[in-house]
This record gives sequence, C-alpha cells and structure tokens, in this order.
Amino acid sequence: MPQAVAVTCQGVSKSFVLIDGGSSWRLLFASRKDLPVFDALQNISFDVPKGQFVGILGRNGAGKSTLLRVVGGVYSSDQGVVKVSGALSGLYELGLVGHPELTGRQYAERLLTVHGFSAAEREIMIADIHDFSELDDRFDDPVLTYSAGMGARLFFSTATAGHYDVYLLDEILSVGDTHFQSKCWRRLRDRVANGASGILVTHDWAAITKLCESAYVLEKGTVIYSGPAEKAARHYLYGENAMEEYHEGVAHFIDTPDFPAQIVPGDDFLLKGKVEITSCSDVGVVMVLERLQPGFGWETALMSRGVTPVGTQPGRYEVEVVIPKLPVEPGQYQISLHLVMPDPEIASRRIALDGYSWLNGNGLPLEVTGEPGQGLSLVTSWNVERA
Amino acid sequence: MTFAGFDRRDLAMLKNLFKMALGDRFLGSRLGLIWAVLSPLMLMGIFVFVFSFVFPGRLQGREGTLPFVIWLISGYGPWLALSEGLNSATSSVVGSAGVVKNVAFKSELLPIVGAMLGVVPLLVSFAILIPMQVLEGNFHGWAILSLPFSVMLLLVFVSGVGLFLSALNVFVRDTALVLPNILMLFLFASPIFYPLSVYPAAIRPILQLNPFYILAECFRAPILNGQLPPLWMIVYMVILSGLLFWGGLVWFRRLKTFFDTRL
Repeated sequence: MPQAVAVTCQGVSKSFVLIDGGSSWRLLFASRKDLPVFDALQNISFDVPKGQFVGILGRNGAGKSTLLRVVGGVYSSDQGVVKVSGALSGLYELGLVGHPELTGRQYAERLLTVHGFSAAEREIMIADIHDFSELDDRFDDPVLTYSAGMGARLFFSTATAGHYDVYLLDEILSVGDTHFQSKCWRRLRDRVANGASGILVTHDWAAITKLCESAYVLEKGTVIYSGPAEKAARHYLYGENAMEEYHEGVAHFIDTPDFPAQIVPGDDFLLKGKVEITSCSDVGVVMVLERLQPGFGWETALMSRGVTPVGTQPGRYEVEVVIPKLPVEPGQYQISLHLVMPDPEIASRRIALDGYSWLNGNGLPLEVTGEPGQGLSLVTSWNVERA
Repeated sequence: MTFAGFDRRDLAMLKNLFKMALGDRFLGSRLGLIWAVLSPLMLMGIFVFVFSFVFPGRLQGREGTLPFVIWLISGYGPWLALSEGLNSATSSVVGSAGVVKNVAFKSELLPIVGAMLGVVPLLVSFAILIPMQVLEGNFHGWAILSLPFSVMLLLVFVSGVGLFLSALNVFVRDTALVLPNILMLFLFASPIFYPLSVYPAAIRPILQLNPFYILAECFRAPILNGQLPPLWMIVYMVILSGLLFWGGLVWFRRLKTFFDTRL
C-alpha cells in the first residue's frame, strides 16, 4: 500500500539572479537570460510521509532555508513541482515579522490573522500562546524589548499554536533555554503523534535524530545523502567515506565481536571479541553504549570508566565485557568498541587503533526489547521504619 | 471566483494587510490612529492659511473665505489621497520585506494596500467639507453619490502606478526617495490650487489630459457644482487606470520572482 504523502518535492531547482547596479536595469527592462545566476537548489526531490518529520541537514549556505521557503511557497521555484497537502505553518527565520513596536500579544494576533483564524479561534490560541511561551506579563510589552530567546519563544509558540497538517521549521529549536526546548520537543512529538508532518531544517544533527526517522543531507544545493536519520547525521558529520583515523599496525579486532542482537533489560549482557596485538604496546579497550533512536535522539547510556588493559605483548587475546543486569530502558542502542593505546607525546590522550562505531558506519546495533516505561530498578535496598 | 488572478482569500488578506498597515503606521505614537485624522487636518490647515492669507487666491465666482476654502480642500483632499497612496505603495514591498520573506501570499496586494491608505485623508477631507457646505448653505445633494465611483477610479489608478513603482523600488531604491519631490512638482504643475484658466489657451487641451487634474476634477465637479464629471473624463480615466493597473500587474508579477534576491 502506498504511504500517504504530506509533502512532495520533485525536481525542484531555484537560482538567484546576482544583481548589481548595472544588471538591475537589465533585469527590469530586458530578459534575465544574460544575467549571472547563483544556483541555490538543483534538482531536489523528496517526499515527506504523513505523520513523520523529515530532517534536512547541511552547512551554512547549503540551500536548506531556501528549500524550506520554496516548499512553503514563499519563494517560487524555477523548475519542479511542490505539493503540500493540508494547512501549513512555516517558521523560516526567527526574525519577527512586522513592526517591532507591536506587543507580543498583538504580534501573535497578527500572525494568526494572516493565517486566517477567526476571532473566536484566535482568543483561545492566544491564551495558549501566552501560557506556552511563558512570557507572563512581558507578553504585553513591545517585541523590541524582548531578548532573542524570548522572541524565539513567542515565535515558536505562535507558529505551533494551531493544529496544522504540515510544519516547516528552520533552525528554531537551537534557540531558547533547555527548559523551553524540551517543551518544544514535547509539543512537536505530540503534533506528530496526532498525524502532523513536517520538515526540520538544521545543522544540529542531534535534533534531527530526536524527531526524524529519515533525513537528507544537502550540500551546495544538491541532495548528497538520503536515508535513516542517524546515518544522515553520520554522513553530515564525516562525509561519505571519512572515518576516524586509526593508527595501524599495533592491534586490531580479528572479527566482529559476538553479542546478542536483542536483549531484555535486567538480563546479563555479554560481549566477546578477539583481538590481535602485532607490536609491543599498552593496548586497552573502551566501550560506550549509546542510545540512538529516531524520535528519541541521542544520548550516552553507559560508558566504560577507564581503559581496560588488554595486553602489551604481540599475540591473540580474548576480550569479554559483561554488564550484569543491563540497566537500560528498552530502545535502540549502538555499541562503540575501540582498541586504544596511550599517546606517547601527550600523556592524557589516547590513540585509537581499531574499533566499531556508528560514526564510522560499522556500529554494533543492540536492541533492548520489552515494554517501554516498565521501569528499571537499580539494586537498592530500602529500609523504612516507624520512628 | 477569480479576478485578475486574485480570489476570495486574497480579498480577506487585502483587508488584513490594510488593517495592519494602518495600525503599524502610527504604532508606538501617543496619539495612535488620531494621527490618521490629525495629520491631513494639519496639512489642509497649512494650505488654507497659505492660499487664503499669505498668497490670497483670486478665483472668480468664489469670493469670500469659506467658498474659497471649500474649493481648495475639495481639490487638496484628492491630491493627498494620490500622493499618500503613491508614497505608501512605492515603499510597500521594501517596507514589508519581513512579511514578503516569511509569509506565502500574493505580494502584489501590498501596493494596493498602499493605495488604500491614501483614502484615509480623503475621507477626512470629505468629513470637513460637507459640514462646511451645509454651513455655507450650498450643499448640492445627490451628485456626491458619485464620489465612491471617483474613489474607485483613484484607487485603480494609484494601484496601477504603485505596482510599477513598488517593484522598481525593490531594485532601484532611489525610487521611493525621489518620489516625494516629483509629486511636489506635479502638485504645482497641475491645476489644483489654481484654475486651469491661468495657462495659455493653446496648451490647455494637453494639460487637461493630466490624470492628477482629472482625478481632482472628478471630486470637485460633484462637490462644488453638484454635477457629474464630464463623460470624456470618466471614459479617459477608466481606460487609463485600467491599462495602468493591468500593465503594472504584468510588470510586478514578472519582477516579483526576483524580489528574493534583493530583500
């Protein structure tokens, strides 16, 4: 069954005419053909399935914001088709649209009016914006007195106050304090759970992994990668082939470590790996368990505290890692495992010799199964007595 | 239903944009919207003072202060509508860059909103003209019902020119800067503060084609004489305004795809 699509973008190209004093007259009174152009977007195609957020990663000037404006209908494309099904709310920049003398309330009122909400709807939504933005009595002060973070709060609250079908968000979640950010995430997840879709444009790859299942990487106006969000993040960070650099010729894993692909929280986790040391050195091993899951984000779940020594003499070694009663929630995890040795020049630094990591595209995925939210109990003992 | 590429949603947007533009203009000032009335009143006061006391106008058939003032304001009101409308329309796109870049709507509405802003001082001038005429005992009645039509003509004309100038102003920002001076030149070159008869008879037929003069006449004829404006004037203005509006729209729509490079 074909999946319902919220936004379709097919072969979209957009160029900006470069205008200086002389060419502006040519643009006005002649054709644009002989004018220099800058190709901002070239032949971009993607779909946003209904009920999903799609991420767009890219560096400054890659064309992310232009693409978002084309999808939102603010810019016209030179070629290609954009189809958006349903009501759309776009947050293209944090600059506040309109007069800076407007108060927060008037500003919200204005934006909602532009979007065509009736007076009765506006009243309810403005109460919601007032509450969500936490601007309290500053809500009735002119916008020009707001700090950047307050402006962002007002802006985000207003743009997401209504229930739209499609949200276009540009970089907005990088502003505001952590408390507000987490509220934003909650609201967006809530909207997605209710069937909304959207596009999130950012250079913050962690944000993409939090909200999006799939993502696109944009570079110089073209899509250079499309796929699952965490792989797109890796691609964005390290490029197509680039990996961590390993110091060769000291030690390496003989083959992929052996560990269960699925595990239930509370079970003992066991990983076995075979290591060969080829030249005399202080070889050690480190392990990190990271949770990397679409719709959740990225965080380190467990990390080995120090370096566990493997050996110093050439030969084959077996490495075993045991995590008794695996204390993590159900979810999707990535295991990173590295062989390291101390840097002879800088004492506190370590040199990587070989390893497995999602950042290099050879991470070891671990699925922790079970009902989410069942809870974990750490090994604690309580003693309650009547005093 | 659509007209010239506009539909009902655009009409609602036009209304909202007009409200915003009107509100924004005086935002942050103490008196707020009162300025919309006060400012044309002050301007009219200055011109009345100058032309009745400093350079007393000699106008046959309109001896006395009150008839002269009525004559003056009945021409100056439409002029204010023209000049304010053109000035606001010309800077409308550049002035609303934030909206143009962040809201998906038809930006050709902006110069039309600018033209509509000019109607405010016109209404103010009507509001003081009618009591003055009643006071004078010279109220002409039914012909003033043709005024809404004259207002429409003026709106279409100013929107048409505004569409040209606002798009031009995006690329050549000097447009909005030089416009007030050009308008001042037109004001004194058009027979608005003096009768057409001061010009030599030979060039009058040509000067009569000046749309600024004709628009002023379209208001003056019903207000002062209780007559409808001459038919040729109406036909001429309908054709001219229609052509300007259509041409302006084509020009604006061709150029608006390039606005994003300059805003």
